[in-house]
Amino acid sequence: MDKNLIVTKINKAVQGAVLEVRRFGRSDTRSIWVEAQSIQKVAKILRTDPELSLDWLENLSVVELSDALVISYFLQSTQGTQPEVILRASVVPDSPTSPVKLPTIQTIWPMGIPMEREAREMFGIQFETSPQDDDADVEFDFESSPSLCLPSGLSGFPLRKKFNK
Amino acid sequence: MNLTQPESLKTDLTTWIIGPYHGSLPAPMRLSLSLDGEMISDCHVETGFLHRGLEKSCELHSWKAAVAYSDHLDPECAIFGELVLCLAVEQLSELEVPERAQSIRVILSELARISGHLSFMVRMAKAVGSETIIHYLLRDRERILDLFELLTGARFSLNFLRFGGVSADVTDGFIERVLEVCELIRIRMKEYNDLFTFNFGFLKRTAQVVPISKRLVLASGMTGPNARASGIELDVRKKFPYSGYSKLDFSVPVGRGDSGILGDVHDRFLIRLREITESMEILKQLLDVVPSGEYLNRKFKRDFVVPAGEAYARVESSRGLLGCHVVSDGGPTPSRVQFRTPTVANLMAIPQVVRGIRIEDLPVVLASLDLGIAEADR
Repeated sequence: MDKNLIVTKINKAVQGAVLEVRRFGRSDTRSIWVEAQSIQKVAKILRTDPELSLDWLENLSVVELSDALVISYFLQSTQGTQPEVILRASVVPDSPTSPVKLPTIQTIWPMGIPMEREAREMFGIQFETSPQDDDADVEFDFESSPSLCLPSGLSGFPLRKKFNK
Repeated sequence: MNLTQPESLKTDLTTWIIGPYHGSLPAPMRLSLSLDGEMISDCHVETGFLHRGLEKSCELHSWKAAVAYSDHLDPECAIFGELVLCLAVEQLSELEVPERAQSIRVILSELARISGHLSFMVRMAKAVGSETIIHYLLRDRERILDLFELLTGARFSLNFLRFGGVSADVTDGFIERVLEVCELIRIRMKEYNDLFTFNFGFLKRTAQVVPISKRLVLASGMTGPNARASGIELDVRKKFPYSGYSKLDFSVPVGRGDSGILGDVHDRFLIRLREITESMEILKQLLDVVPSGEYLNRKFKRDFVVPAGEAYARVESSRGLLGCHVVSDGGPTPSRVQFRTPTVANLMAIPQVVRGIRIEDLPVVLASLDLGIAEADR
């Protein structure tokens, strides 16, 4: 299996999107760092390209590292075309308490809806939809998906390091 | 409006709000239903009523305290939260776990799986109105909780695992008692089959009721017994083996559509019954040859420091794939502990699953999804 296939495909479709490829922690899993605003286009390639077919978003995790919010998408292929990959991007908010914006991936991986919602409520990441989202790959009722409910009147993002300090 | 059944009453839509606390709900959550007569035409799910800030609490306390917090991720099967955190930290610290400790972890995991599935059956019995069976099931589950108490001193929040092993060796007579309980549950399986699997009333309420398609399973990210009941053979113990599961001989039950439709409520029930049998097989294999040696890696001391870096681990909990992403800056507290819990996906599937069903089937469908709100809300 060509290890650089994913990077080649991404670079071909979205030039300059890949910033770096690293090992994830001490594991053999690769993490691909991409430019934050191109995350949706990259996600689309990863899911729809028949040679990649990374169609299953296992987890979405957000970590605050120094000033940046790092978002990680843990991806797998149910067809076994690729080993697991972690797609990562970082965004820097204007201030430690201000929200940030990222393109949504929920039309590409619908299982990411509750994960994005949690990242929005806990970290203040606003996931933006774009006109091409109407062209969803998977039929899913996005409106009826479950919602979290933070207490009314709560301001700020509880999982940020500076929350309530 | 979705009129999928011919007997739809074609009345005006009414709105029902059920919860956050209601007898038909397995845990605190709120369902906003639109009803067309007896048919559910739309559903919205609200969660978060049990949010405890568990991940934030982990960041505010020491690494060792995080084990105790992860215990509370799912109070019914506490060991899985502890295990996934320990596996992630051990991967990050490159800390080896002695074989004896791995065996003890697997014994506890499989006992918790059986206990979790028995609790599931209790909720199913409650949903179909078979009150008597509940007592039989709880009687057997008590025997497993007794085993937890014998080994760890606690029945629910065990706080027994440590980075690099477990906190104590197995006590005298523990292994014999586990074998006794396995034998007891093996005998009880006939009773469960009579009361559930082949029971006319139970079949009437569950067979061919609300099947979940493979497509919905994949779109919602469902894992565990619910996904396997719909024919998706995904089990972390086989796909990403941990704690010595690769050395064990066991099979992963997958839905067969015994009642006519693959992935219906009856399949979701049967898959758990078959998993109990597999768990007992695993326990018997393990108990025959519990390796001798240390139960804790001696590198783990009071001043143990988790090095800077990150790791991700996953285990197969009784509800599905439970993942944990840990990040350390080398300090005394975790920089981030994030859990990926299976119930979140099950909750997400509810609106799609219940649309078009009768209101009387709602409690049965919710029970069949085995929702652990504590782990979803965190």
